[in-house]
Amino acid sequence: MRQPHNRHDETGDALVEFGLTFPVLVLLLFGVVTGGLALDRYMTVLQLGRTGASMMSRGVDFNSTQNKQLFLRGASDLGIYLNSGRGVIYLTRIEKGAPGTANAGQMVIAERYVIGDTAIASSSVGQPNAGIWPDPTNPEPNGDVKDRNNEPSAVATTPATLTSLALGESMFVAEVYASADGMLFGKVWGANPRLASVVYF
Amino acid sequence: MTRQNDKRSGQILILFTLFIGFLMGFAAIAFALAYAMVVRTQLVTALDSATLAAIRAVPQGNAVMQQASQRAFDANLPSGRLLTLNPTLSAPNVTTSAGVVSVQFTASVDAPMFFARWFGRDRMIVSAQSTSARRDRNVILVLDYSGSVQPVLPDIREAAKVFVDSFSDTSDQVGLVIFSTAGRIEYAPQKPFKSDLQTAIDNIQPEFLTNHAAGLYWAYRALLELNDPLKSSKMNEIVFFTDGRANWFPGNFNVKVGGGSNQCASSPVSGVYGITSGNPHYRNRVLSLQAAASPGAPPITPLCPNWVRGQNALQSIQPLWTPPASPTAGSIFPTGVSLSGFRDSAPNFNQTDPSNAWRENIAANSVDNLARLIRQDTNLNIRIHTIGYQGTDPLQYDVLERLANCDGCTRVDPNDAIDATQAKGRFVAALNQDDLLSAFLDVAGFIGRIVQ
Repeated sequence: MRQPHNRHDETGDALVEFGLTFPVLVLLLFGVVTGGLALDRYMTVLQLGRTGASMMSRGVDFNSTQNKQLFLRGASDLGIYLNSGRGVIYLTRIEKGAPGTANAGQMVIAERYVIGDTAIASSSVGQPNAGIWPDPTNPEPNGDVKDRNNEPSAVATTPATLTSLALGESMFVAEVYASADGMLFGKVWGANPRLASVVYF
Repeated sequence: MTRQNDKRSGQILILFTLFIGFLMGFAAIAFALAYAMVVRTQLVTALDSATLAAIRAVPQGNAVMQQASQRAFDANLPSGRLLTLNPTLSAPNVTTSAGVVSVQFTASVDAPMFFARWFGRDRMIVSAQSTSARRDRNVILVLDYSGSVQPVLPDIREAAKVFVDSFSDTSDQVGLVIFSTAGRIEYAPQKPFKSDLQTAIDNIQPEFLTNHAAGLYWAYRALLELNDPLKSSKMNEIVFFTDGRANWFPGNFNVKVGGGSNQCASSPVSGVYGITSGNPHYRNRVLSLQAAASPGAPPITPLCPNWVRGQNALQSIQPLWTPPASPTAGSIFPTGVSLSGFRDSAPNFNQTDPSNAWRENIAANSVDNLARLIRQDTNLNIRIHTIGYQGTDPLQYDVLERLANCDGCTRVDPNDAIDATQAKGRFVAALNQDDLLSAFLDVAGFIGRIVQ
């Protein structure tokens, strides 16, 4: 009895069909995983920025290593540590320049705390010269009034809607930059992929 | 049989096509919900920022409050951020009760739905609500008006007036205490205060020597005497400014009693003590704790005129300071204030030629102990903030940091200086004249940034 010719083809069909569907399924799976991870990490970045700005606005002293570590508990997913890691956090207090000084009426960086690796990103608010704010390695007295009112590099860059503060009023900015380099398909976002959040309190 | 096998050969593709539709549908819903969570996080952040901005702007009134909150909201969630549309912030709902001002906002934004638009839904409205509260402040500004402030008095006046202006005329109560050799309540805390208090600041005239403890004492007394049934639920703050080293101190000492011109009429004597070999007018006097009220006039009545150190005028030292009896303040310090403390020198009035350091050590110990006693008041939970101006004298960082009990203070051993169980204040040093305004604003901002 002659064997049907197309019975032999059926086995191959399954293989071909599997070969066609598998890449789609894999892409879908990886897409869902990558998208989920990215959203999860972005949520962490957003939450961290909010927490940092909130802590600063409530007077938490970020000269204290203990307070920094407390804050960083929320950053464990991002791999950011005190002086290293896969991201950087800038916490900045901005005030209005005092009358009669070079920076009078301008937005001036009054305090700055940096956590993590500064090579990941620089601050979008401004990069004042060293010595303007308390330096953890060479502590100045808490709140010591430095020459920020006359230092050109202490002038802050802020959104157009936030260019006016009352004298004595402070604004707190938390910038969180987390590298997405190690994430699945992170390179898809560019050569230096990162998740960023800037929060103004 | 053969035909059936032929039909089966395409079934995986058909099933996959059907399956992928469901899978994509679920993925679309999951992604849309996850994205909505991200948008909501951003919305809540913007809303919190707006609420805090509003709370900080309470002293400036409702119109400023609304502008400040809208600016903060827009900065954190501008239209188009995260592909959102129509970010909307409600008008503030302000309520006041028991010394607490509360501000409530609601906000919403349209979040994109991406793949869900295939199912006819391209936007999802995300909303949130936030409330923030601000406790009213009772603030005592303590200004050094000793003779050494004369060169920078206009700057001090300007800075103090801006400082005062940063509080609410309708909900906060602000007062003024001044001190030199002794001290007094120049303007009792009350509301409204801005106009009268600024006039009082303009009328300050520098005179005489420096007695930190007297200034702190009168500040605490001003808070105790403040007739405000809600004050224990408010934020009670003392802001202490000085440009120098204390060389007088309050005390209650046993003294030699007799009819001689060098002796006191009775013993012990409570007042402020000056032990100096310098200015002959104030040498070796015991003066009243409260300075006279009129600026520029001879302020102090000597309690023991012309007693002479070294002639056994002081027989022994009462280690505890008990302030003068008063209906409201007689029991302020039931345990007294020791003159011994973090400065090494022990009080010893039998020395015939005390050095400046000896006298200043007693004065520093006195005000330091007084600050710690004041912070032990669990009813008022007072915070003390210090502003030091480096004029002719070098700043006493150790004293000022200890008085503030400040986080991050580094000029003294933090383990020794900071009491973790007591309220933390702020210390700011103004190293030159131009820094005075910034220093006062810094402390005003520090007090203003604390919200409940």
